[in-house]
Amino acid sequence: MNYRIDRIILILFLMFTGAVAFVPYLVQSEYQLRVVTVVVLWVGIAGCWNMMSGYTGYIDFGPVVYFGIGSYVVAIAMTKYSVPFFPSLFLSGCISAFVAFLVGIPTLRLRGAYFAIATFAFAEAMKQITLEFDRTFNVSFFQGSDGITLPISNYENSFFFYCILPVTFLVVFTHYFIEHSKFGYALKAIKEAESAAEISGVNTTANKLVAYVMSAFFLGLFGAIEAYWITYITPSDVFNVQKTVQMVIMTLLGGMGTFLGPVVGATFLTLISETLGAQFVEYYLIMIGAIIIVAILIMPSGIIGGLKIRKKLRFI
Amino acid sequence: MILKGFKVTLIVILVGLMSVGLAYGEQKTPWKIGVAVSLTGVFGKDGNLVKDAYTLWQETVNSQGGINGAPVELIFYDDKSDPATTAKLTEQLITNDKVDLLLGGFGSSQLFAASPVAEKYRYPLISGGASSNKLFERGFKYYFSTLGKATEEVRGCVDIFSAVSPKPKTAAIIGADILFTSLACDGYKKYCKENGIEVIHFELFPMALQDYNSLLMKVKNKKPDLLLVGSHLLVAMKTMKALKEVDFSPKGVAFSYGPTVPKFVEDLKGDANYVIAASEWTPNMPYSGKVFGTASDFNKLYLKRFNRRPDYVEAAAAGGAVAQQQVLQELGLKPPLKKEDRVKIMEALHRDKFETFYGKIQFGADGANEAHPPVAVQIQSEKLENVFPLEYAEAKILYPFKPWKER
Repeated sequence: MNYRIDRIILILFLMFTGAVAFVPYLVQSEYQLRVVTVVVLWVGIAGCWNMMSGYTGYIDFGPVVYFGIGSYVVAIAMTKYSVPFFPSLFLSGCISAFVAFLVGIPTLRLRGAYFAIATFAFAEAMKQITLEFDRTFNVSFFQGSDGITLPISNYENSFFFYCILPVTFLVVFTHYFIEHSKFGYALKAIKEAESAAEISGVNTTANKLVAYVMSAFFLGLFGAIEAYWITYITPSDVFNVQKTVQMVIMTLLGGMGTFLGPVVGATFLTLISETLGAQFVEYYLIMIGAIIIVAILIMPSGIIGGLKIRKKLRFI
Repeated sequence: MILKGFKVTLIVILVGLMSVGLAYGEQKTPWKIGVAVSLTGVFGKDGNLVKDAYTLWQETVNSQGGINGAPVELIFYDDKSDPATTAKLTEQLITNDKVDLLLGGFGSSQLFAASPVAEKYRYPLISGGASSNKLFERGFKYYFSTLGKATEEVRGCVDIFSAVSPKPKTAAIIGADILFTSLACDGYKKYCKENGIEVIHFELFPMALQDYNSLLMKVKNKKPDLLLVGSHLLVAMKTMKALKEVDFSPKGVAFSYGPTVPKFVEDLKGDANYVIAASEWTPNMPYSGKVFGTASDFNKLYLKRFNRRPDYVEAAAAGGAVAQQQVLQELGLKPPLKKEDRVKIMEALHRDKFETFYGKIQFGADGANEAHPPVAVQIQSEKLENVFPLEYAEAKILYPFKPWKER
């Protein structure tokens, strides 16, 4: 029975994604398209955090570092080496993933708060490296706090929408893969009881590393697309810890370790922020804070998490 | 005959009513002007100053009958000090709220994000709160700034020391490692070189730095004559507190931004004395123009409305709004504006010179204000006094900085 419901939800989700692809033809203004694009972007970004932290229970406080690396790779590739956007984009994902691989090997052996502290420290360290590198070595590479201006494209928002949508789709579908594979069971086992999983023969570090690297790859892509969209980056903006906080809140609100959690959390928070921000400029942040507190009190497992437990659904 | 008279009276009444209705209808169509500004986040405090300036401009213009008979309606959105949000809100103002015009918010990163959107839709965007040099190097036609370039803003803070005796020989330059403040530090370096002052320490530190004491102890040990700081308000306040704690009294202390914000003196009181700050405007400057009258009148109006003196960024923001208003009046435009009207406004902004309470505004081809001399102010007896340029100085510079122990 549950499998049938799961299958229906999957089909509905596929249909919904197909429908979303037509949004640029349906919206009445570029602003509406930008809002939808931002929603899709945050669904993907929150999904990246969920991919690692939601399933393994390892709270990563530094995912923004891979977003920032992606932004810098695309900016440097395009401005310094005149590499076109799409190859630069792919390079952003690969370099982010490679850095995650190198960082993941030592840090993923840490547990609990130590992992959280290590990832947070790494993100802050990267921000400082991009700020100080040029001055220390007397070169012009990251351009420190001056930031980098990317080539200003003539692309409309629809171009960025169609760049972001497939990446987000892949992120959400990676969740599907996680839910339906041995790999996913391994991640969930790590969350429930890591030592027991290890004794049962699960290579916990390798599984965590795969999830961490996949998450970094996608974050790198998102960072690259946003940098090209906004056209200007500085270390303070792209390594801003606020981005990490936002992805954590969105995932918690939707439901950690669930397929649809980041989708619902990111959509809900972005749209409510849009609506209240336009109406109550002075007080909307207080209102959003209150809404998050109430939502978490009523549904401690998040919107989808609560539904999952209540309806005993496996795949949502 | 009676009937004919009645008809004439009726027509007169109808025409009268129609013209009243038309006039009323005209008045009801306001100038919708949108502002995406940081009201919360890192630049929240500064962004709210810009909001106050635009609000005062709106109230003043509306009390004077509006622009070409139409009142001004401002739409503010909070970008949370996040550039991506600034870009989104700028697009929201243009495509969703269908504003006639835009005004710029605060912060270079924010304007970096907003300006390509404004350029794409051909909306002139005048900012009074962003001055990073790179903003003017993108070849944009629709971006304007009433402030000078960041590196040039601090010129007065260094040039003033050529008028003191004995002339300082060495300087330490420190600043927060974010765009505006690091550019200010580059400016200090440039003008120190021009004035023959040797830079013996140069350091940029993270904006989030907590321990200013260690940093300033390091600088103190090098015994520079001057301490030149690339700062925002918070950095300036923390530096002053640390200077007192480590008992460091160089002969001159200057900041790129912060001391001109009234909160600086309110919080530090007598400790703020002797501090020099870069500025672009002070109420005693001999400037005058339409809308606000003289610089002093603007100051009085501000005191009356907000119970405090305006900062130069607020004057620069209001100055930009006045320049745009003068173009609308010159072109005789009425809302709602068409695309081609905004092209004409952009061309006029590049072409015209504006005399305002903020001083002369003349935008160069890159959008920077070329007609504005940098000003240096000093806090004397807990009041901001204009000390540079010397021809407009209302007080003589107090030099050297009085040691903490003697205060």
